[in-house]
Amino acid sequence: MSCKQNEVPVLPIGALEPEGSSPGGPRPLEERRWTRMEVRNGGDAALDLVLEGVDDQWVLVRVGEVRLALQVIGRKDGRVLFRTPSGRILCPMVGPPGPLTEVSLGNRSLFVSPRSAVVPEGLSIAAIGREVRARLPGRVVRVHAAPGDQVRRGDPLVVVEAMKMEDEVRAPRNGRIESVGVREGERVERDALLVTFCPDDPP
Amino acid sequence: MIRTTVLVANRGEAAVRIIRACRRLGLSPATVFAGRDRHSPHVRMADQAVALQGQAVRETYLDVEQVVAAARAVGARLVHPGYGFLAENAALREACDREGLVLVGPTADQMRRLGAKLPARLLARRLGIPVVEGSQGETATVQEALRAASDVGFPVLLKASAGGGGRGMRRVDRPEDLPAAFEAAQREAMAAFGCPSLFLERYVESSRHVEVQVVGDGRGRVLSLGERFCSVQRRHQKMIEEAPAPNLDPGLRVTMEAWARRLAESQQYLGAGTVEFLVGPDGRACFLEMNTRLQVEHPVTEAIFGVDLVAAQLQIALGGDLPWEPGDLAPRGHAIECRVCAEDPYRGFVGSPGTLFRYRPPRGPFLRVDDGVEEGSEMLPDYDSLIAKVITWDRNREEALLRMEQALEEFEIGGVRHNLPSLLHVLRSVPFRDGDYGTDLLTRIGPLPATEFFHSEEVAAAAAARALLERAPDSRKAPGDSEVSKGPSPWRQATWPSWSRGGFR
Repeated sequence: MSCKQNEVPVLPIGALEPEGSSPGGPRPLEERRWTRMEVRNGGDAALDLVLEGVDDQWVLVRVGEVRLALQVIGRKDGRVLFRTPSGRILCPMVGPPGPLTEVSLGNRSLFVSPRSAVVPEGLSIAAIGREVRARLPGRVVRVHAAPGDQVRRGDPLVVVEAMKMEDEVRAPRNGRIESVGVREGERVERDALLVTFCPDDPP
Repeated sequence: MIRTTVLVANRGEAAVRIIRACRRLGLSPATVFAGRDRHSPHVRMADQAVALQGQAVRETYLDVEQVVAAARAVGARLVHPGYGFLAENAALREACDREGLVLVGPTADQMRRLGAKLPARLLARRLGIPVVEGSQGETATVQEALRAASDVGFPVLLKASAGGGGRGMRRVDRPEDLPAAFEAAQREAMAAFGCPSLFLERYVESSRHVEVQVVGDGRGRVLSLGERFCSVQRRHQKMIEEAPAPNLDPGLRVTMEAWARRLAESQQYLGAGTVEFLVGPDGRACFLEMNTRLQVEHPVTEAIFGVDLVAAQLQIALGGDLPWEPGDLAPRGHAIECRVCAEDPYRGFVGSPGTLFRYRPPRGPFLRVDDGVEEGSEMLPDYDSLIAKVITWDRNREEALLRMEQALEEFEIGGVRHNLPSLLHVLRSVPFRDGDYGTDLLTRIGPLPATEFFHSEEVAAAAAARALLERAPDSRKAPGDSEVSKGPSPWRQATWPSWSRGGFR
C-alpha cells in the first residue's frame, strides 16, 4: 500500500522507460525561476512546496529541506506518468486550469495553486472576515439576512439548494449585515457573493 | 412484428438500468431528457428520445403531462418511471390509465394506501404490524407538531408524508428548534414532492434499517426476496447497503418477511415494492414505510438471488405471472452496494456539481457498476448527486467487502468532490467490518480525517503534473538541457513533513 521510504528505487517494469529519449539526471533551475506552490487536500490540510526544476524528463520538488525528483515516464491527454523516488508509478490527471487546479490521482484529488494566488476554497469567510460566499452552485431558496441585521455566529443567513440538498450558509461570527447580494429564486455560481457583513470583533 | 415500446421516464443511472432491461426482453426503449441531459448516455442508448421543455425539474421530469405526451409521441405501450421523479406519483398512474398506457408499478390506489407514509402506518397497525411511535396523523401546523412531539417525547423526526430519499426530513431535539425545522421540512417537501404534508415520529437513536423486497402479481400473490440492510446513512440518505443483513436474528428475518408480504397481499400489490422496518436497540422491529417502486439499492438483492428485478417488473406489467416460484428464490453469498456521489465529505456532504474530467469506473469479477455518466459528463446542480453505484458480490461478507475496497481504490474520478474517501473510511471502520452498526455509524466512527490521505510522493506528483502541463505541450529542449549531470543524483528522498492543519478556518 504505502510506499517504502529510504530504499533503493526498484523499477517495476522495464517498458516504463521515459518516452523518446534516454533518462538523464534531474537539473534544478536557477533560484529566481523557482515556483512556490500550495497543495491542498479535499479537507483543510495545506502544504507549501517549491518547484525547483521542470523539464521534459524530471520535475524537482522541495518541501522544507526535503527534495524529491520525479521522473517523467510519459504524457497523454492531460495525464502525466511519473516514477517516484521509491519506484512507484503515479498517474495524475490535471483538471481545467484555474487559480486552484484540481489534480486527480485516481480516487482522490489534490488542489494545486501558485503560492501568490492562493484562493481559499469554498466559504472564505473566516479568511476575509467580511464576505460570505456560496460554496456550491445552485439556487437561492431562502434569504434570512437583511441589511442592518445584527446576527450571531451560527445564525442562518442564506439557504442555497443544489442536487436536491439544502446548504444552510451561516454567519461565521457575530456581526452586522451590510448588504445582501442575492434574492430568493436566483441561481448562483460557486463562490458568488451572498452577504457582506461587518464583524463585531475584527479578525 | 412491431416491437413493444417502453418509455423510460427518468435520467442518468436509473434510465440506463431500465433501458438495459428493456433490451434484454426485446422491448424497444425510449426516453426523455431535459436541457443539458441531451448529451447523457441514456439518450443515446434509447431507440427514441423526447426533449422535455422547461427549466426547473418540476417543469420537466416531474411534469406528468409532458411525460404522457412523450409516451404517446414514441408510441409507447409501457411507461417505466424508475425511482425518484414520478416513481410514486398516483397522478401519473391515472393519466396513463386514461391514455391506455401501462405504468410499470402499482395501481394509484396502492400508491395512496401503501406509498404515502401516513395511510401506510394506519394500515400496518390494522394488520397487526408494529409501527414506530409517532403522531396519529398529519401535523398541519407548528402547534400541532409541538403537541404531538411532547406526547411522543423528543428527539423526534419530522417527515414528509409524500417523502422519500431523506428529503423533507428533519431531526428535532428540542421544542424551540421545531418551528424552524417545520418550515424547512415543509419547504423541502413542497419542492421535492409538491405536497407539504408532514407528520412526526419518535427518533430512534442507533436503530437498524432493514427492508424487505416484495414482488406482487396484482392478483394477491406476493413473493418476498429477503432483506437489505441500509443503515449507513448521511442526511437520512442511504450511502451503503448490503444483503443479507449481518447479525440479524433469523427468526426476526422470517417475521419481517411475513409482515411485508401481509401488507402487500392486503392490497393485492402489483409489481416491485419495498417494506422498510426499523430494528431498535432492543432487537424489536417496527414498520417504517413502504416504497411502492423499484429501489436504488435493488442490485444487492439481484446479486444474492440471481434475479433481474427490472425485467421482472416489465414482465409483470405486460400481464405475465411472477417470473419465479418461491422454491427458485434461494439467496447465495453476500452483496454490498456503495453509492458514489458528487458531494463533499469534508464539508457536511454538500453537493458538488461540476464536469467529470476524469472518470474510469472499476472493473473485475463479481463487480457491477451502474452509472449514467462518462468522462466529460456534467454533474448538474438540478439533480441528485449520484454518480455511480458500485456493487460487489462474493460467497461471504468478508470477501465481498475486500472486493468493494479494491473497487473503490481503483475508481478514478476528477472534476467534482466525491465521497469515495468517506466510503472507504466507513468500510474500514471496526463497527462496519464487524457488521455491528446502526444508523448512527457515521457519528460513531467520527468524521473523515482531513489529513491522512496522501503520501508525500503523491503531493509532489500533483504539483509536478500541473507545472508540466503549464509548459507548452510540445516544449522543445532548450539549449543546454541535454548536458545532464552524469553523477549520482543530488536529490535524496526523505520523510515528508506532516500536513499543516489550518488554512482559513
